[in-house]
Amino acid sequence: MIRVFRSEWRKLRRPTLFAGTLGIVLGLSVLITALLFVLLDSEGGNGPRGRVITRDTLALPSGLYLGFTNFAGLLGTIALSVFAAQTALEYTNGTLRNLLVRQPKRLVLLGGKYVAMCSFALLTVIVSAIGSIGISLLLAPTKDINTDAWFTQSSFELLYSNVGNVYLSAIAYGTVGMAVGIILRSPISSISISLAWILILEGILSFTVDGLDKWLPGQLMSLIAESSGGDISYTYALAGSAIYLAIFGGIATTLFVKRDVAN
Amino acid sequence: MAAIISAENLTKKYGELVAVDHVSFEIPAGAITGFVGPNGAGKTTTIRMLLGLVKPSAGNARILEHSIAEPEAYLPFVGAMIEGPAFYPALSGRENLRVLARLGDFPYERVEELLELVGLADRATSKFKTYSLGMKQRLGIAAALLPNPKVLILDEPVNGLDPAGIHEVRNLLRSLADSGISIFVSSHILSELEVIADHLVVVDHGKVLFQGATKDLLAAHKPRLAVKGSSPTDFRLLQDIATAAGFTSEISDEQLVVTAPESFAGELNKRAFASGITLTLLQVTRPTLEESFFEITGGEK
Repeated sequence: MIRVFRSEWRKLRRPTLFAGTLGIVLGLSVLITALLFVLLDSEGGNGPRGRVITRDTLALPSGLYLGFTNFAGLLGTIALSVFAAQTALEYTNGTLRNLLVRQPKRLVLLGGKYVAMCSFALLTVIVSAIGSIGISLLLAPTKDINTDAWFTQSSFELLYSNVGNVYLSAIAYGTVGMAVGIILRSPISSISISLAWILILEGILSFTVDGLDKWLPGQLMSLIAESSGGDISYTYALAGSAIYLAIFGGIATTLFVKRDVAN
Repeated sequence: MAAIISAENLTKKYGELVAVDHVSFEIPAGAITGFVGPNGAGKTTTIRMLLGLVKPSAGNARILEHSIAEPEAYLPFVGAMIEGPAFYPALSGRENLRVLARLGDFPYERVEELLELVGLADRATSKFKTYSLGMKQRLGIAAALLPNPKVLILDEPVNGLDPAGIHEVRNLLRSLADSGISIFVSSHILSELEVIADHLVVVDHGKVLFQGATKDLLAAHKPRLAVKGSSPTDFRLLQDIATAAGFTSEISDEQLVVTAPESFAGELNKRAFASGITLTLLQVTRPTLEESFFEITGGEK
């Protein structure tokens, strides 16, 4: 599997994907975090969906990574897109047949690719965290925010746990992307259908039907990143996501192993 | 020669469609074997089954004495290019080969050797998407050679190549076969296979129509004599001479084509002269592989 992992990384490190994705992740995490501080006293709010995040909230231990947490949803959609594209492109390019000739054990090939993409997702999470925390440290003094609580043991512990949860959420999204990529075998269809479901349909459904959000995979996966979800507990979100991923992953793995490679 | 690939009743059905219909053949070791058939004959599906990419509906095949149900046992010794070269467009030729080299655990030095061998060393850093079709084919062959294979399976390797490129690939395949590699090559360019293939497997509509030495296929069809007299009225007399000797003939392209062995040429000349005909053409022609192919597949040129 290590050979598959290293082989996959030769593709992942191509400049357009590697530098492009990490550049976007860094740029957006810095921008979203910066808006949190720049719009601090704005009447329109400075958080997601016009939420007002006060100076006092930012001064809490969690203030250090609040911008990073706000960016978690986008990290998930980026992971989903990368996983889906990297998987489905093997079908559209016709390169899967080359890979299977060199590594006929299909489960090993799939596993190696998955682990490689999970490591890529980890990199995006780390870069995002560095960018977001860096800009927070830079802007906090300019907005008279007391950052004493940011440098405490509890703040660091929360930070590690938060980064871990954002990573879990990102690979959950990525797993869905990879599964849909295998099922549909087309990067454009895989990404557009997945994002349309998660970002649009689930949004509409969760707003229109009371209590439905606890059954929707996208909602549950995003709650993992937030570490808690109000009415829905973190454990419930984790377990619910795991069930969905087991179903998606099971179907995709079966198809990948059993299906004829005819293109 | 021992069989390096053997197929027994290999069958692939897609619903009602039978793509490969109880195909059986043997590919001898150390030779170039051509796999011939019109589009849709089942060549690519057969090759995919041999490589473990498509599961047979029935039957089995063995490569290097291993069943195709265990592709991991023989694929480390097999190089393949299936249905044209497929690579990552945004990666360079070198990077594309390195992806496969890493996967198959082959040293990067092998990549450089092969880039040199197929004449792509000076374009190794260019992206695959900028390559010409000929360069893409050559990269495909390089990828197939990565494992230093015992068996090389190539699907239409000269597709899209210019005459110089075809010549290069032909020489490359010949030298690889001479070095002991068994080559199984499909092509619809029959004249190409006539030149390079020692053996042939001819398929149509999913069935094997011929398998054996190329020379046997060509020898199975009688040579012909193209004859022409100085006057158009000579055709009738020449036809009578051929018929009297027990051979059939037909007028084609202002020539009389007599289906007869080479030994009849002297006799024909003698009898024509005796009948007062001055021959302006007397030529022995052997059927090409293409003609033999169309004859056994029942198709038309």
